[in-house]
Amino acid sequence: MSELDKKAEKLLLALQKKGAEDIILKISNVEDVLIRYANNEVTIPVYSEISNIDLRFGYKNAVLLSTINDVMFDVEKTSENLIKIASNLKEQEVYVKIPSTKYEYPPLIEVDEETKKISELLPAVAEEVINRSLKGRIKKVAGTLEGKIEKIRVITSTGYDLQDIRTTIMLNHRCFSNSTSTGQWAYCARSIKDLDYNLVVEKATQIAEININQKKIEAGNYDIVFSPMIFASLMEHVALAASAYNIELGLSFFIGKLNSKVASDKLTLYEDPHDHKSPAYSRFDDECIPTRKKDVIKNGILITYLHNLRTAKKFGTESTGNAGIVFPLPFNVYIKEGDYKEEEIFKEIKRGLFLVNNWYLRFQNYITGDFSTILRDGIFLIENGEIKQALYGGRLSENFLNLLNSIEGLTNIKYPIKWWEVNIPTYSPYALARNLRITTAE
Amino acid sequence: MGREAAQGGESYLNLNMLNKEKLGSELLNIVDDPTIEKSSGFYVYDDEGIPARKRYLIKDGIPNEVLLNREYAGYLSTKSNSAARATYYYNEPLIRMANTYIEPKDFTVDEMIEDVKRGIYLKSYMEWNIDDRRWNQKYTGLECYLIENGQIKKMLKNVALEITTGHLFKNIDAIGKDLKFTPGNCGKGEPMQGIPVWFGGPTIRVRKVWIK
Repeated sequence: MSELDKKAEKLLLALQKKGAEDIILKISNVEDVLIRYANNEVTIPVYSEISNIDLRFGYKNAVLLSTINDVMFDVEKTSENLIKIASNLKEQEVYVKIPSTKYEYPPLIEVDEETKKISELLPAVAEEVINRSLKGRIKKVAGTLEGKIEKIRVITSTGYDLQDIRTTIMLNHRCFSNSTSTGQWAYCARSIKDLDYNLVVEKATQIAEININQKKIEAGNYDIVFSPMIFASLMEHVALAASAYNIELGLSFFIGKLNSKVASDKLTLYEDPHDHKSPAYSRFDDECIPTRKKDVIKNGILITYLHNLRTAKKFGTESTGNAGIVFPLPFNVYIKEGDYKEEEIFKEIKRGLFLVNNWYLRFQNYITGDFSTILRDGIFLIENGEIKQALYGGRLSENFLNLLNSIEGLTNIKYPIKWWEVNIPTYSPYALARNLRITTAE
Repeated sequence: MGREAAQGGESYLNLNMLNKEKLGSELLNIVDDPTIEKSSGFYVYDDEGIPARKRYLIKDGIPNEVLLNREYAGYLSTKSNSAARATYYYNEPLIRMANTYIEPKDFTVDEMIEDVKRGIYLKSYMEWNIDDRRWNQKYTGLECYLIENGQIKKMLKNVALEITTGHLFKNIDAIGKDLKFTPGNCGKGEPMQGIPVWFGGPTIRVRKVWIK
C-alpha cells in the first residue's frame, strides 16, 4: 500500500468524523510514456508519473467534489477546508446514498509483461512507424504514440475497497505528400501486443498518396462513405448524447426519445467495458457499481440512457454502472458491423464522397442536434463506385437525427479509434449514408 | 513549422510571408499581448524565463512576427518573444497565445451600420470551427440582426458565416473603437493543455460576405 493510499484512508476517516457521508475516494496512479514526433523525427519523449485523489461526499444532503493533486497534503487541514466549503452548499434536488451491497465484479486483469515495458519499447516503435512511412510520395510524418498504465483504488465510507488496472496504448499518425495532401489514422489497444501499427502506417500512407491535385469541393447534398476515423467521432457524440446528465441539462438530441426510433435499423451502438482488449476494460464505475455490456441503440431504437446512482433515482430507474465522479459517461463505444466488405461499400455510390477524418465538431443546437464539423485528411469524390478526385474545403453541416436515420450500410470490420477528436475508445466500421449536406467557405 | 502537425495541424502562414505578403486590409493590426494586467492571459515572464512583451502578429495587413519559444527562435536565428507556456509543472511549455485581439480604430458601431445598404450585424456567435490550416472558418450568429439602409431592422436566427481567413482580412473597411475582450481557454498539445486567455477586438465591418 502506497503512502497516498494510507493518507486517503486517513482522509476518509477524518471526513467521516466531521459529519461527511457517502464518501467516495478514488486514488489514481498513472505512469505515462508519450513519444511525439514531427518533421520525420521524435521531437519530445515525455515520461510522467502522476498520482491524485478524486473525491466526492455528502454533507447535510449537499454534495462536494474535489481533486487533490498535492500528494503532500495535510489530512486534517484538507478535511477541515472541505467540510467548511460543503457547509455553505445547498442541498441537492436529488440526494442519493452510496450502497453497501456486496456485488460480483469481473476479474482484475494485471498489466501484461510487454506493456510493463512501455518506456523501453515505445521509442523503437515510434522510429519504426516514422521510417516505414517515408517512401513513395510521403515526404513528411507527424504523430503521437502513448502508453499509459493507470492503477485505481476506490474506497468508500460504506465499506467498498476495490482495485482496477486500466492500460492504454494509442497511436495517432499523419502522413504528408505535400503541405496540404495528408492522410491520418489512429489506433488504440489495452496491450502493446495488440497495437497494429502496420495497419496505421498503411492506412495513413494510402490516403496521403491519393490525396493530391485537390479541387475545391462544391457545396451540396451527397451520398457519403465515412471512414472509421470520422464515423467514430460522430458516434462518440451519439453515445455522449445518451448520458442522462446531458438529458437533464438539455444538451442532448435524445431528450424524450427513450424506446423510440432514433436511427436507421442498420445501426446498433453498444458499450462493452468487459472487452479484455479495450483500454476501457473496467470492473466497476466510480460509485463501485459493477460495469456491464449494454446496447444503447439497438436496430435504430434508443434502448437506454447511461446512468449513475443520482440520475437513475431522478429518472426512476437503476444505475447502468456508468458513473464518473461527477456524471455518467460511456467507457467505450462499439458500432455493430454490417455485411459490406470495404471494397463493396464504395460500389453503392454513383456520385458521392469518401470522407476520412474530421475535427472541431460543434453544435448549433444540442436539442435538435444541428451541428457542423470540419473535414480533413482526405475528402474524395466517388463516381460510379470509384474514387476519382481529391477535394478540399468541405464542412459536414448536418443534423444528428437526420444523419443517424440516413445510415444505409456498414462494413464487416471494426477499427479501434482514439485520438484528439475521439476521446472515448470507439470501435467503428466504414459507414454508408445518403443525402447529407456539405457546405464550403466563400 | 510543423511541431503540432499531427493533431493541431499547420498554418496557412509560412515564414516567407513575414513582412512581405499583404494578407489583409491595411487597417488590420492583430496583437497578442501578455502584458495586459488583470487579464486571463497576463504573465510577467514566460515558462522559459523570457520577459513578456506585446507582439504585433499582423501589422497594417501584413504578417509581422510569429509566436516563438527559445528553440524555434534558434532555428530562425532570432530571439524568443516569450510565448512558451505550460499548464502544469509536469507539462512541456508550448508556443501559444496570451491575449489576442484586433487593435481598435476610431469608428462607432452606429457609424459603421449607417453606411450599410443591406447587411448583417453579427453581434455575438455560438457554433464555430476552423480547419487545420486556419483558413476555412465558420461562425453561427447568436444575437444577429438584418441591416437595411443604414438601420437595424429585425433579429435573425441561425445566420451562418463561412468564410476564408484571406477573404475576411482583405474585406475589412472599418474598425470600431469599442475594444472588448472575452475570457476563454486555449487548448493545445498532446496531452491536451488548456490555459486561460483573453480574445477579442472591436466591432469590425467586412464587405462582400456570403451569408447562409
